Amino acid sequence: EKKLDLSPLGTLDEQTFYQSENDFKGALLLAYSALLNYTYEQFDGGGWFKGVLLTDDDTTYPNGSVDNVDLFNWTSTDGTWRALWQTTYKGIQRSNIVLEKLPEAKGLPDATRKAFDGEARFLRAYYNFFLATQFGQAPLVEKTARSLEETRSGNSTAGQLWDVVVSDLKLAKEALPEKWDDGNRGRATKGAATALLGKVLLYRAQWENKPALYTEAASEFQSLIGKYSLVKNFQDNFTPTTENNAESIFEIQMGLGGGNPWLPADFNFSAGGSSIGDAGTARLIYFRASCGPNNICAPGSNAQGYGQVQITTPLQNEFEKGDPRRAATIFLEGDPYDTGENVDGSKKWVYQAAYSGTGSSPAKYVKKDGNIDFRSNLSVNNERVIRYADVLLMLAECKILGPTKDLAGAAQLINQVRRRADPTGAILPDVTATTEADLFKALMHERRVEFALESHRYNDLVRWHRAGKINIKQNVDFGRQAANANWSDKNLLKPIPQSELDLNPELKQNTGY
Amino acid sequence: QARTVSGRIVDATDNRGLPGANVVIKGTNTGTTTDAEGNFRLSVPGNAATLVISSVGFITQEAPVGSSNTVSVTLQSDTRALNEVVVVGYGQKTTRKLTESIGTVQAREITRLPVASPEAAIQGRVSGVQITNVDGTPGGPVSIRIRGVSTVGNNQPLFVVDGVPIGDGTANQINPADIENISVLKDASSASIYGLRAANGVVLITTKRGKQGKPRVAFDVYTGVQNFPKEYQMLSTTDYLALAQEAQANANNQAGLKPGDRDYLVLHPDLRPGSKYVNVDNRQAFRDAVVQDNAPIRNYNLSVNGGNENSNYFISGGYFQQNSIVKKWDLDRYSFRVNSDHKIGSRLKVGQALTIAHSQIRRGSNAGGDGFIYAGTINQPPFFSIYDTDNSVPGNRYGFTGNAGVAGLTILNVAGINQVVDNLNNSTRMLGNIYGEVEIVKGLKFRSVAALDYNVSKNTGWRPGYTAAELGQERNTNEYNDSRGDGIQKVFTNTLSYENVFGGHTVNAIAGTEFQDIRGSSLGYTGFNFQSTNPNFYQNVSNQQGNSDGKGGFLFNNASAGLSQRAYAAYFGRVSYDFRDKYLVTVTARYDMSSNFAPENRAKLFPSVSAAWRISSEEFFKDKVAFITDLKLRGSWGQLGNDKINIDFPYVARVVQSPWYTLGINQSSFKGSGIPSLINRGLRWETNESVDVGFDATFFGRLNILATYYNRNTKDFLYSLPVNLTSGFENIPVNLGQVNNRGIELETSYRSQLGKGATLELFGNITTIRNRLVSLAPGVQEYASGNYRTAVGYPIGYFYGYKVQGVYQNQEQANAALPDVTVNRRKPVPGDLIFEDNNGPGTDGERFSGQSDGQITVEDRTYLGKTIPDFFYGFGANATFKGFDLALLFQGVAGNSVYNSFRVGAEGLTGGGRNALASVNNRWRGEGSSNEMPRATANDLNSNNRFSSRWVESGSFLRFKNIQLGYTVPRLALDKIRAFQSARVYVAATNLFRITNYSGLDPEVITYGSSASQLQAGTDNSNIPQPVIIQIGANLTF
Repeated sequence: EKKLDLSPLGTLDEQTFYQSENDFKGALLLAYSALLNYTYEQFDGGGWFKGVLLTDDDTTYPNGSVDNVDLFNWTSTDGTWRALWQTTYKGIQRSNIVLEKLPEAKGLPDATRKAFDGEARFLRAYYNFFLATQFGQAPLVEKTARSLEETRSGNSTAGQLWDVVVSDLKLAKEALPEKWDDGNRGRATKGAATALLGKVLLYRAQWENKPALYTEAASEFQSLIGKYSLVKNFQDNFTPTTENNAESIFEIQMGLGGGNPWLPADFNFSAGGSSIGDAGTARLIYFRASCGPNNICAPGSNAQGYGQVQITTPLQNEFEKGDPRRAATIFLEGDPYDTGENVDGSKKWVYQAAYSGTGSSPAKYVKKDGNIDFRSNLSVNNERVIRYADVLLMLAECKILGPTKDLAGAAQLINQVRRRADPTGAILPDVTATTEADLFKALMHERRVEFALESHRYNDLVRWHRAGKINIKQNVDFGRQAANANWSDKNLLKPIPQSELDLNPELKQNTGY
Repeated sequence: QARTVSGRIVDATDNRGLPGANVVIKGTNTGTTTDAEGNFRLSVPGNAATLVISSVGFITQEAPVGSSNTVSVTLQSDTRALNEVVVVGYGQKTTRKLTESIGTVQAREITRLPVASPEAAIQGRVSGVQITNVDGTPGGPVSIRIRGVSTVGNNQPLFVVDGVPIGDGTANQINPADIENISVLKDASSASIYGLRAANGVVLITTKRGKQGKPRVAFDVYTGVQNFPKEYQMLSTTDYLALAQEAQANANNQAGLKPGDRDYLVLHPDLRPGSKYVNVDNRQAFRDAVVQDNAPIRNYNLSVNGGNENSNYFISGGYFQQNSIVKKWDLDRYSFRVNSDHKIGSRLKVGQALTIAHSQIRRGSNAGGDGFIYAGTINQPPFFSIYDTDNSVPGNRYGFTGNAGVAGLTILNVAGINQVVDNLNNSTRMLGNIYGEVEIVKGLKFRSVAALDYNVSKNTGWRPGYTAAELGQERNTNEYNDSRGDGIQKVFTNTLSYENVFGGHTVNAIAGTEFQDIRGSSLGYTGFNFQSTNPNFYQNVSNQQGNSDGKGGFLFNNASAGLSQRAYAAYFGRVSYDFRDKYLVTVTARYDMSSNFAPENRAKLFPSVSAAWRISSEEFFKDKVAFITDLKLRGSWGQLGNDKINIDFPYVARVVQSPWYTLGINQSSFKGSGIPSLINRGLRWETNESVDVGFDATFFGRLNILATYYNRNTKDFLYSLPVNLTSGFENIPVNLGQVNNRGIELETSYRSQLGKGATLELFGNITTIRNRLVSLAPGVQEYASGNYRTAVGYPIGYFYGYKVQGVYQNQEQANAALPDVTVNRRKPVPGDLIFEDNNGPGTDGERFSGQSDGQITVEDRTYLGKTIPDFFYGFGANATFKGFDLALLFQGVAGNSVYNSFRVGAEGLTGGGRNALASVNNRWRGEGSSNEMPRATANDLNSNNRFSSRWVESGSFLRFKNIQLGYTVPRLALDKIRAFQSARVYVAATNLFRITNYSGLDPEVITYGSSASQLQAGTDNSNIPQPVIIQIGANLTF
């Protein structure tokens, strides 16, 4: 019978793990890797590309369930929402376990322990903030479940998620280093926590109509002024060779990993399985141009690209004439399409409007990716989560909408962003608006063209709508009639996945679903 | 001093002389056979005391010679084969003494079908045992369900070969020709001696041993050809274009688009009149590129057996070779066996069994089911080409074409890829045991068996680099992978058995211990971008170019390794007692332990009891009901366990190093670490409690009926219960719920001597199943996954989707359509499908309110059919006349459904893209044209293609499994040749035809890759069908 006392071979045991610095670094990398799931395109989630689809900036060529997302025909059984929900809570669990195990770990230097604590709190805040803005009063989970009973959580109370996010970020801000060494670049920093905290406060000011928070947010943003800078070339923010640059505050770090990058990061992450994949590296598939409605196809399409994302006419028209950011953001008829060479080394391609149902396709993250030579769909181009330009424009927003109006200061910040795109000011003249309303309009325009296709737009629309600054139903053209007709207030939040409600009667669905 | 004895052997049923009966002097090899009149003449030594007279189908008798020179014996027909030996767990019983439900198949039946594995060979032969071939590739996986589906997890029974438990199946490594018989332990009483692994039943395989006598050499050979039973008919290019045009016109009309509008759909220029493609029709070329007509199958077996009173031996060698009916999939198997038994002195006996089998599959990219190579080839657009005949692809390395961009399409040329890719799967298994048995005192025996099961596998794969222009798919670099594994099982069994007969009492008892240790390891690597395409180079990993730039180049040179271990220990015992064969009882128990569960949950006792009453032996019965030759009532109760869960050590919280994340200025990837899943320390095996009652009856000495009612309840089944994702995990392994299976098994056979040497045997069996999930988790009523649902009150894994009521025939009907929320309340147009509004949203935990709510929602999805049949059956006949013999076997299932997923693509009616089935010519094209198939539209706005009853078909079929006609060359002719002892030649056909309404290639379907679980079992992903095999063969003995 003694011979039956066997244990699994070749794996580590939770009882003995979580001791060394390396153990915790590994545990934190797991918490980071959930971020990759957001961007993985090929399964149900398609979080990143579907999230981008929600906006009035882009649309999809009619295509099955993707259509439902784009057309605001949202249902609780759509796998998209389930994937977003699941990824977020995975990230939370992976952050929580670090926070649970850190106090028990013997022999960790205090400084290291503190930095790990800050990192876990930053990530937990990132995920909880996502929940609060996407799902509303989603359950608050603060410790790892250890039994079936502990897996069931009811809705959080109003503001509870926001409170935890703010308190985590405040702690993280103090605990995190200003900068990591070269070997650790890409991990959360004090700046990242500060910028995210500012963003959370700005959002909260608008979601909960608490004007005082504009001031708090502004002071967070203000503390970053001068610590980062706008890179000279706008395009550098979307080129893989210039990742983690001076403008970058936080990025999701993409890599090929060690397995099959066509599979999502968590693929086969199970007790019996071995590491297979990495994710987020196949973004080009859906972002690349494919075939227009008349079956005229971009070179290398179909086998390489599915071309679900197409740029709406409103976004095409939003760019001021000659705005250099336009060519870095979207392809239009006649643009050079590929930075590389053709397969046979001959010619370069030129983008044709007929490749897209709308005459335009995304260029941001695709152009100068270094991989758009149609030999591979894999991209290691980082997703830029918070850029310094964002901090500047959010600070401007606080100055415009906050109780202490500083319109001139706001205009100066907006113009700083415009001058980076066009150093001469000849194409993009300085904003000269003097009223709050006009300046806010200028700010909205600037955010739209600066951050198009960077996943900010729909969140911006929602918070402005909640703050009463715009009315999505009346002011926003999503580029498809059905989408405009379908949009209603319920779309301010996503539905909680039906399967979650089925398993847990305590959990209540968001209004309207 | 020898003398001559003569006599006559008579058949008791008709008092005629029995030809061909064996008459042997007891204890010797000397003997003869009776002539056509039943007469024999034999020279016997003076001291010979007894003759042994035997004949197939009759009870063997001994006759004392005495001083007489004539011996006449009347043989009783043994239709119930009451003295047939049945192998039970750790022992044997005669049929007469059985209290359990055991199905047996003898060597003769096992070798009838030209198949690689014994499990495939017993299809249709045993009641209660449903055998489903997953696909028709050589040695394809076989799914076995004994008496229904007892768990939501793994349902495969335990296989035991010569006493050694080897796992889920034989993996094609046991040569069917070496098998003496197969016993299927179906009820709790027979199986409980295998304790915690017996809940799905146990299949005992016993291999042949030597028989006393001079060496007998047997040579069996067959060769045959295999073909598709049916092929799909696809659209011609003309019809393809008509469909595409119609689909676009309908979509344009519906959207109100006019020529010139941006979204107005038009045919790709390649498909317009005048294009060089519109006159090409390559359907036949694609079919020919993938179908292997008259695929060969052959088998050779040579065996020698013999022995004397002290030793016997059986040795054999076999070679089996089968090509698939699709191209590039060849199986070769070499197998050897040596079995022997030796008496040492009067009390000690030792023996052994050893088999070595080596199998090799050479294939392309097609991996059986998951290549779906046939479907993926024949649905290529008909104007595509497979070969680059006009050298239109510059630098083409392989001669195929990817048709890249033709008509705006790029579709991988799977038939071409299959040809350029090489995969080799090798596996070698050694399975052997050695035993010693000592008789301590008369009737008391101690037996010790040590067994070793060692297998190694090596799978290699080579894929060259190719481009979309060459093969419709980009694979920039070549790839070579090599993965190897080994497994070793050690089993040590010790038993003490006691047998005694006193007065009318027979006692048979056994007690024992068993320890089993299972270990395995695997190692594999993949290399890319080799400098040479020569196997001598690419198999050398260092020849691969380390070529990652971290920015899109490839850095996969990933070695991976795995280790596993597991152990079982058990004490078991069984006591069988009977009084004059009239009152019989068997009590069995096994105290079993598994390393897989936490120490405190590791052990459990699995008890069972069975009893039988032979009414026909009662005085009050015997004379009054003369037409009933034998009647036995029997019943059993017992508990069995199932420890099959998809993970080892589910109670240990493991930290897994998995997803990668990239850090640093050099963009280095690191592995994260964490706990991937919830664990459950309290986990234990599931328990199956079952009862069965039945009777065995023989009427008029020749009609047998065996009927059994079974009722099996699985409790605490091992289940990965979905949990709220808010936990960060997806599920937790738990014991919960209950599944009930019940039904009736009927077996019947009838055997008759028709006179003039003609015999006829008819047999049949049928098993009904009623499968219900009785409960799941507290508060959890159902479990949905894809198109399947498992819910309380329903069979496990039923199809779940919308019900189609018909087609909207005109505008009036379309206008009156209920709003369909799932398509955004878009109004249908004539030609769209009508979906049934059968359920409004239910309350918590209750999916079906049963109320119409005036709209179509996801809640209207409902039960569309089950994957477990109502009943399955087999029947057939064996007949002999003069030297001829004829065997027939039919087999079928009824009441189950199959989801034909090929049709979803091939009858999707969106036009363009891959080719469609010719059946789409029956599509709706105006009022009254069809009420089943909707209109064509390039833009399926009504979601006509959603998962619905349209795709779920009846899976019932009756298959003519096998016919065999043989001719045994008469003795006289053989005597002239003087080469053979006996010679039989035969022709046979397998899977000759089937009767079914199923529209796919073969209704015998288990979803590829999930043969063990019923949760998602009935999807036909275009599995390769069971081939029609025509074969000729010979059985020769020397």
